[in-house]
Amino acid sequence: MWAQLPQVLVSGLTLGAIYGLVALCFVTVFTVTRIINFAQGEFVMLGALLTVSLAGSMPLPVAVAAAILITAGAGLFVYWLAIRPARSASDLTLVMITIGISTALRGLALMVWGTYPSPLRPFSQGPDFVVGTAVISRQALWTLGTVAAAVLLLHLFFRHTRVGQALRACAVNPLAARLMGIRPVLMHQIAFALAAGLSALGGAVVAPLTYASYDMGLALGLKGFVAAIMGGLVHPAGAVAGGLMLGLLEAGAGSIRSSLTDVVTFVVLLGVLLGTRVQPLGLGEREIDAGGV
Amino acid sequence: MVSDYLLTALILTLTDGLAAVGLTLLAGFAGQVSLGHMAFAGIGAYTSAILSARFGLNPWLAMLPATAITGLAAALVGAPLLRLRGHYLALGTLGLGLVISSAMKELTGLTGGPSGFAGIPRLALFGHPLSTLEYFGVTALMALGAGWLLTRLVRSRTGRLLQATRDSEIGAEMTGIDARRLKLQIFTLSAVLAALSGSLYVHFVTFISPGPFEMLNSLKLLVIATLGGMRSIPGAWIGAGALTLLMELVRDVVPRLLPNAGGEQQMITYGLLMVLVLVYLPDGITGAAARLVARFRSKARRPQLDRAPSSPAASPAAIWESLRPARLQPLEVSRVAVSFGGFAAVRDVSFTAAPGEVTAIIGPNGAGKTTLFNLICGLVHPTAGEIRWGGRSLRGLSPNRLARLGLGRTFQNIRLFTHMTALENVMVGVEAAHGPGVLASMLRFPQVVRAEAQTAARARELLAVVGLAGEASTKVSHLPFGKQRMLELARALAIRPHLLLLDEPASGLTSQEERDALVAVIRSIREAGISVILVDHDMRFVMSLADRVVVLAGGQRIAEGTPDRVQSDPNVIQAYLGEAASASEGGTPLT
Repeated sequence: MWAQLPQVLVSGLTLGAIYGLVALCFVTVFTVTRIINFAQGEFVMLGALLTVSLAGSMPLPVAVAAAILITAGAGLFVYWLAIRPARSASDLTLVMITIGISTALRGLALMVWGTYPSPLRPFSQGPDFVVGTAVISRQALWTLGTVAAAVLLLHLFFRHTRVGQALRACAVNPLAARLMGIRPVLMHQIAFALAAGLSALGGAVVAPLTYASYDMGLALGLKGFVAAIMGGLVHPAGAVAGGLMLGLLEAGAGSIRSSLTDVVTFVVLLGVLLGTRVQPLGLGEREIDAGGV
Repeated sequence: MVSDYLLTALILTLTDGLAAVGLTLLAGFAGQVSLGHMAFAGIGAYTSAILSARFGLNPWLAMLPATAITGLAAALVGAPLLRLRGHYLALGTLGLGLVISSAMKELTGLTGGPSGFAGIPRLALFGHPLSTLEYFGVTALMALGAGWLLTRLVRSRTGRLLQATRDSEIGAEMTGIDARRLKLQIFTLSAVLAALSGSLYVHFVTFISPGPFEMLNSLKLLVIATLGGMRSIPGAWIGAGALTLLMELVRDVVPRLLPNAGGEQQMITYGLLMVLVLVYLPDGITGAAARLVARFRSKARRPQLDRAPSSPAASPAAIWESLRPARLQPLEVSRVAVSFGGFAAVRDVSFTAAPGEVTAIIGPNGAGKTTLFNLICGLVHPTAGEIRWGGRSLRGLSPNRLARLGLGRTFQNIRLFTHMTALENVMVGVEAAHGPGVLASMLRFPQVVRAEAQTAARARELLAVVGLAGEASTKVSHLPFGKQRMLELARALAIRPHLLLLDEPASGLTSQEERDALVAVIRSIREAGISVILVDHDMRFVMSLADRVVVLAGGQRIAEGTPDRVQSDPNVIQAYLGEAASASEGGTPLT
């Protein structure tokens, strides 16, 4: 049991980093648009499968970049097809719409790529690293490094660029942002495209570890969302931390019995929902009037 | 003779509709959604299959534990998730779907694993198994029965309480509706319907495997419910029929265009259909049909004039007398404080509202008046201090519990149930605390019919005393603002309050008649012995009604006393109307 611990840590952190990245995408879309995009996981799947297909005919970095761009385009397309026309719909309807999108994308992927999981070669070749009793694959390091870099770049983007600041303004107070000349619709598009592109990056780095298949998005999306909830749904750092924690818990349970991993997600989900008082804005009825006017 | 193929398709359509109608009820009437609803059909189907195939239980009897276990599972999952506002139930059921789906595959000893097991007995009558035609008959009867019972349910007290909760959850809570319990009941009922559908399905095909209960089919149920129309019970079966036809078409056309197409055609069709229906036909086939019919009707003949309002039998004095509270209890607010993220909205406020009196709370904007109301009625919890009512601490009591104890409230920005008529709004107030439950409403016992008539009669009386007797069947959204205020007052009276909190009842009332009518009603309320706490900006209005006045500024109490004393208190003049007082140079700023 204890001999496995270092290995559990390594695989838990690797998986957790991906969950964290997906969680970050949920947070980005939710804070800017107040929508929980249940189709987020499908963008991870698209990124993975596109990278696999493109890597056959072009260098890997180009393939990854192309996969990110195409998926970001798909994110925009989804926004214009289904989200924008339903902008006045209830939260309930939007949840169902994103579930519909998710299923349609999965079906599309099944049509294009088929049932069988496709492998992707690791980003760099060479033997695994061995630290004590733990085996660390090169791809695990790539995953951790990529996610860390993405989180850092995203942070800088939100803090120090005009677009990033406009997105944050839109998240904090859409009405005031609009009065300042920020166009909410444009911000919503950027949020959708950005989240889709980031998810695709996650899919590309995880593909060599888990293979890429049409149905990988559902579980990744759910786990990413659980991680986002663990972090309170509006905090980027919390989302990443939630992802890492969920990954570690899953790896721990998986080392006992592999079929336990899904159950862990569900139990963690219930536990988090019960333990904290998450009542994010926009999910329920408007806040109670604060008084005065 | 009808072919077996057609009969089989019809049976499957009917069982799909039976599972989907639970979602119609849940999403269309309770405002929640279950994304893994087939998990419940799966629990029901496997329980029923295992009990009948492995333990020799009669399939009819096996359906009882099957539905009971499923209902229990739903209640266990729903109870914690429905505590939270928003759509966490969607997420929880999605997770449950994944867990149940892996359990069906992993628990090989019990479920036969991924390939399932056969040899499940078919439903039998008089010792011989039903033929396909007979099975269709049984399924059709069950579907009809379920549709009939559910239609009664949504038109009953339960249906009104659900609509009220959907229109304004805070308004519903303050009227005494336990929204969480109500949603949990509907969620459990929807799971039981799914379990019934699952059992009917396995006892027809006599073979079970995890496939039919996977995520994709949960989505199919949602598509059926949306396609048929979320606000219509028969819509579930109409949606199921439409989807069956559509899928036949897809199965016919797609292979010609895409020879290698397989399971993906279902996924893409379901997914796209869901999005397109929700975006372009949000009320589904039945909703569109209803709109079409309404258009032709209104062209055919003009709406008739409302028949003359029937005045209630009781005299206004008798109605007011019937509202007299049994007990007189003072409300004591002692040293209460609350802060939001470091901002102290209310600091160390104490006062007592004496029973049978009108206590007014006044103060400039941001003084903490509405926050104080929210504290008293349980919408906000104090960070320090205590509120006692008749000697009992109100700490931790939910708004709906307080409402059932006799605490009524109106809101500054009205929170009526906008999709309901004036009469229905008041009926909800009358029947929120007590009335026939889900089962009784479906079976519509004689006492249910009687209770309904009594509730309506009582609601008419209350409409009459606030001067809305003629508006009983008017939709709230068609009522002018002043009448909406009066209606909210009638609804608050309907819960038989001992104490009534009125948040700026005069704001937005422009004409003098409206104000006079309001003053008259509030006077009658006081004469009936109901305590009133009142917040308003209009000084003349407040001073003409109040027995005592509490003045707040900056979250603190700065004065308390009779209207005369408060009006001449220099502190009040300075803090409350400082600028106006100095500007008008010794005029009469408070009148």
